[in-house]
Amino acid sequence: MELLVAVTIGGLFASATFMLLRPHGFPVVLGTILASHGINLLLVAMGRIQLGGAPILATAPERIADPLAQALVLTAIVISFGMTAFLLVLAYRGYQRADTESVDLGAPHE
Amino acid sequence: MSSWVILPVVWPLLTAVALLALPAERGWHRGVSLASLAGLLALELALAGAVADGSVLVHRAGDWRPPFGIVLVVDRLTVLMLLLASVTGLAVLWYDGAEPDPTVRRLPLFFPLFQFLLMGLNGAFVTGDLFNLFVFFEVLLISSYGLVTLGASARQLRAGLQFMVLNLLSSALFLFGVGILYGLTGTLNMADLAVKVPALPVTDTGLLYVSMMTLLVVFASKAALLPLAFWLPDTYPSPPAAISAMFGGIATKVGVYALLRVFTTVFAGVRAPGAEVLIALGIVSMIVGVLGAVAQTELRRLLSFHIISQIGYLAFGIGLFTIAGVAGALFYLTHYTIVKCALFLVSGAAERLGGARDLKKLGGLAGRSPALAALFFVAGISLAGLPPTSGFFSKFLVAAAGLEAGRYLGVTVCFVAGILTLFSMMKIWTMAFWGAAPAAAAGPRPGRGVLAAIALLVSFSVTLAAGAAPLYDYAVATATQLLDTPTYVAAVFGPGGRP
Repeated sequence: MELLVAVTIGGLFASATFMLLRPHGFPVVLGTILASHGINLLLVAMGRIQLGGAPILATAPERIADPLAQALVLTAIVISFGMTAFLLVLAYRGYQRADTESVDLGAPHE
Repeated sequence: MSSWVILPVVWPLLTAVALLALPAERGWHRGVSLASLAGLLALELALAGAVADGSVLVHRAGDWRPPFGIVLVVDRLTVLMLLLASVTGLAVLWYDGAEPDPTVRRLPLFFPLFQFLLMGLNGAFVTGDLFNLFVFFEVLLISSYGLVTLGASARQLRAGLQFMVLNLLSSALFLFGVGILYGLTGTLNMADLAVKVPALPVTDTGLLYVSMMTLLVVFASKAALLPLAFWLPDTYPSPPAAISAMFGGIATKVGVYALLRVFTTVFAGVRAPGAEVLIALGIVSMIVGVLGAVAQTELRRLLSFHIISQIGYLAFGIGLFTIAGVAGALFYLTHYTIVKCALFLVSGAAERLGGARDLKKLGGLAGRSPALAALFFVAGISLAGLPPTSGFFSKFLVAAAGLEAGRYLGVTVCFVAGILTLFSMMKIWTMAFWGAAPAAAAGPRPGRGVLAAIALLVSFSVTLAAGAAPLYDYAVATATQLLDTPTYVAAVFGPGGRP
């Protein structure tokens, strides 16, 4: 289980890095989405990987799921969702205005 | 008094909501924003009075005892940062109110976004919880995205995209660092972390350093330390001058604040490797930033490169982690926030007066507006660090702290970068303010309101020079308080102690 989670997080980050280094707007946006997914998985894993734990103190103390890690992930998901929506609009408007999808700023004096 | 601590966060939020509800009329928005900011300033002065004796005000949200609830903490450093944010905010609003930029005039959203920006800044300064710091960083960034792209010119949109992607990535890394720390210690309260981190078993040291270095990278990229600063010279010059001034003045300082806060609480016991990296990055930033500035001919882009160089001085001073080093950096921070904001406002007025952004197309501004030239002169030599300005004392204190700690390379670079700063200020002076005015059509002279807003900041800088001793005493007291982590921890946990 741990290996699976670790490989998934690593894979997400590797793909995110690759996408973020692309020269066009849309793949870069996808890269930020993948990176935030990777982080969210990591945060969940930081609350320990286990199945069937009670969310708060139960009778068997060795089976507790950490609710805080999940609350953190929830916050992170909401923020990254809003940011992605805004980023998409920004990338699209930039594309309409500049008539290019390149993320390279080129000459600073336009 | 301690429940007042939440007001610097809630006040701008309420103002922003009220502004959104008001009819979209510029006069109303401006009046309410200025009144609200003046009220906030008065409140922060009251807080400053309450913590001046070294006490630490703690507000426990929902009365949950730390480490279970979120705490808001106000100490000397927090008050200093809050006051700097309000003073720069006041000058920027005043400047923009006096002669609004055509873009800002069209878009009433400027004022609510500005208040949200203040909320994010103030929240980041008062919070005592690492995840809460992340949330306030996001509040700050979301309003920055709006402000950077306000007006939506092609240049702004593309610079905004770059700025946003970079910050999304650094926010992801922030969560990564925080997540690792949480996995190691099971807490996010900075005071609790300060106790638990040094007590971690040796087997966890590797992960701890991963977390520390990740957070260092995150804060360095927010503060614009090289090699994480290349977004800044593209982003900061693109929005209208008032917004550039707010960003250049205070927004990058949040990264510096976070570095200082995290390395004196969470990582206080294990910070040695991080401090070395900070000093190295500081030295590189000082010299490379100023070399970049010397090569520029666009006024605000030149000033943006200077930000990188000045942040280098701060990182160098902080990285020493001695009382003299941190106090010098705090003095520098105060001086530089005000002077940089003044210079961006001057450049906005100069661009309008000369009708161009590029130094090559400007000239003879001193003849057309001697008052503006005088204000630039004082702010410019202050940035370069010539006596008798506040810049001289700032550079002197940082360099003296460096000598005391035996960092001769850093001190040498301090002086070389200072001379190059003077050179680039002279370049602005000779190209934009002296010489013959080009034949191109030029704009109106800056009005009294614009000059008064800049003069407010410049007079602060002059006061800092004349009253250097009291401010330095305050900086030393702040540095002493910061480096005394156990007292901070005891204050956060209160009389009951740590559970």
